[in-house]
Amino acid sequence: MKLLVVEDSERLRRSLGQGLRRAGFAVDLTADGEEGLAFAEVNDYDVIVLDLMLPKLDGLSVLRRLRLQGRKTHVLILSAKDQVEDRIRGLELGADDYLIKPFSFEELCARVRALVRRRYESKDPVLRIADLEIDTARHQASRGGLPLSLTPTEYSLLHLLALRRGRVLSRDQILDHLYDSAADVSSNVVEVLVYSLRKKLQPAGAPPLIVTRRGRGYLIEAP
Amino acid sequence: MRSIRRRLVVTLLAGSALLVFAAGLSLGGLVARRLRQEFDRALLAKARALVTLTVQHRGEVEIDFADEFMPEFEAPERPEYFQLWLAGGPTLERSRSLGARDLPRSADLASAPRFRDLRLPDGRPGRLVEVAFVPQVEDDEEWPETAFDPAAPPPRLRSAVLAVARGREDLDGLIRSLYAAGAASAALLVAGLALLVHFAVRGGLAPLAAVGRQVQALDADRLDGRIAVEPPTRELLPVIEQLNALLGRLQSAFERERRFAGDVAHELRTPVAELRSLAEVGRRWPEDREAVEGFFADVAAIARQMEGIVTTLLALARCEAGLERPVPSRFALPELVEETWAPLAAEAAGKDVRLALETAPGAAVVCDREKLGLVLGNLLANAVAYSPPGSTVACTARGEDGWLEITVANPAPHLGAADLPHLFERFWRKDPARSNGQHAGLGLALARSFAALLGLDLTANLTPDQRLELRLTAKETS
Repeated sequence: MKLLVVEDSERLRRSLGQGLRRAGFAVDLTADGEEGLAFAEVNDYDVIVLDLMLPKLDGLSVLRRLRLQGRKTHVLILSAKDQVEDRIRGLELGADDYLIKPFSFEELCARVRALVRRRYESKDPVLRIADLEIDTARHQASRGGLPLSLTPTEYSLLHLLALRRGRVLSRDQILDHLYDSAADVSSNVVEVLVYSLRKKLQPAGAPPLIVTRRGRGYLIEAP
Repeated sequence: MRSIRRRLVVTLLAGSALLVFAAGLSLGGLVARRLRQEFDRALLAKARALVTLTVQHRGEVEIDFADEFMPEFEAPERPEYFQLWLAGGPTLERSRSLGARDLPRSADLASAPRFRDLRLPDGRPGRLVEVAFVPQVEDDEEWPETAFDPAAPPPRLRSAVLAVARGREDLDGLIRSLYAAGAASAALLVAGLALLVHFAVRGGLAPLAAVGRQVQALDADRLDGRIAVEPPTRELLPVIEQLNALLGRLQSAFERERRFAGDVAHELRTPVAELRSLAEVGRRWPEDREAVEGFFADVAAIARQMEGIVTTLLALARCEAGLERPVPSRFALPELVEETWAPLAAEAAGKDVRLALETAPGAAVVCDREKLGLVLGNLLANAVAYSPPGSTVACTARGEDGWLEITVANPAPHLGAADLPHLFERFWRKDPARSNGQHAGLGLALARSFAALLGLDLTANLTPDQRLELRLTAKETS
């Protein structure tokens, strides 16, 4: 899942980027509102974490412009402004959630995951496809009751394919959702990743879970 | 508790009632006295009429009185009385109404008529006048002129005393009616006055009551209202103006305190959020040694930043609470400027910001050196922080005994004239984002507080070439 964090405090931005990436998200970071808006306009983020008091363009203006452009990206406002009026204003301008600084990092992760689930219209934190189970809260996956040992990126790919089950995801879409925009990845990283994930998912004799649509991409068939 | 309305009502009512009754009594007394005088005058007139009927002839006194001309002296009901005596002698005549009874008589004779109250023979209260007189001598035609003998002794004249009495029940009744009518009128007047006073006081105090209600409705959350009375009341105008001025100051103070509390909270929220995020991420993935070490450096920087805010706030609080005292000494101004610039030089060099210093060599001033250094340090730090890279900060410092003038100017391309009034407010920054966390917006507020403590005037001006000029001046150094 790919997030955009727009936060002007360099230290907070750095620690959030570090933590969210370790939590399995691809994270783009930016320090000002103008750049944040530009990022949001060219990338399909699952969630935008948006500070309000930003240089160049404040957070509410970023939010207003995104909604005026018809973008439905889920936005979580992360602000030191703690007054009820501030929260109401943010939510009424189209934010999906509001978290006041200082905050618990775990709570931020939980809220971001909830917004991701909402994007893919999935309320249950445990995704089930045939004998595959993905516990999105614990970042664990199992097949036939046996836990799978996945790297964070493999887990993210599986999670993405499971959330979009029945739909083909192109190589670029997968790259967009799994890696930061600034990440320098090799051209066949998706193929390598799919190969390694298939190996871990595919015990001997089991039917294949990830299907390749030649020239189009990959998908997990809907049951 | 004292009540203005009650006090006014009671005082006005009691005073009015007292005045009305006093006036009534005086008027009643005056009218009663005049009535009595008229009564006495009429009584005396009647006595004098009887006197004119009394004559003496050859030593004999007699009264030519006929009841039919004065029937009041023989009326069967409420008659009047008279009695005529020879002076020091017996009764000559009495009214038929007296019968055999006598009227009281004074033991001596007086030239003026004497009046007295008495109980009449028929038991009624009455009034009596007693007149001593010499009856006129009656001409006697039978007394021939030839009989007059100049050598003969003059004939002896006799004196007489006449008393006339009449009932005064009508007079007393009239006076009583007069007092009763007066008392009733006074009571009605007082009742009317009571109503008038009640409504007048209520109406008169209505603006005061309106002010009271408006003041009562004030609280800390609703200080934006102002006291107003329609129509304007001259007597209350000074009170209302003072109250509104006080409210304005109170509102400003509350807003300043609220803003200050909000600013402090906001200023501390971000570093606390940073600390918490760093701590939680570092604790969750401690194996990432490189990141965790970076976090420690961040934590130290955050601690320094928070310490700076707290130290500055404490210094501001101490200054504003009057706990700081200037300690004047004589020192060279150029040296102080150079010492103050030294710690900023590295930061300025990093931004390629140059200092253009202009001082009068040997200029010495008398001031609190440490506190003036603090003020100057904040002015220079502000200039370095907000000067564009490659620009020049100009500082001129002049002074001698009795005055000094320090000016710090730097390019401020993003500053507008509307920003100038806010420059010295605590936590004010042109960019509300407060991104870098290095400048809390307290430096200039601190500088102005300490400048005031030193008796210096710190002003801000934006020059036509868009340079911010902060000027520190004083004619009399402390």
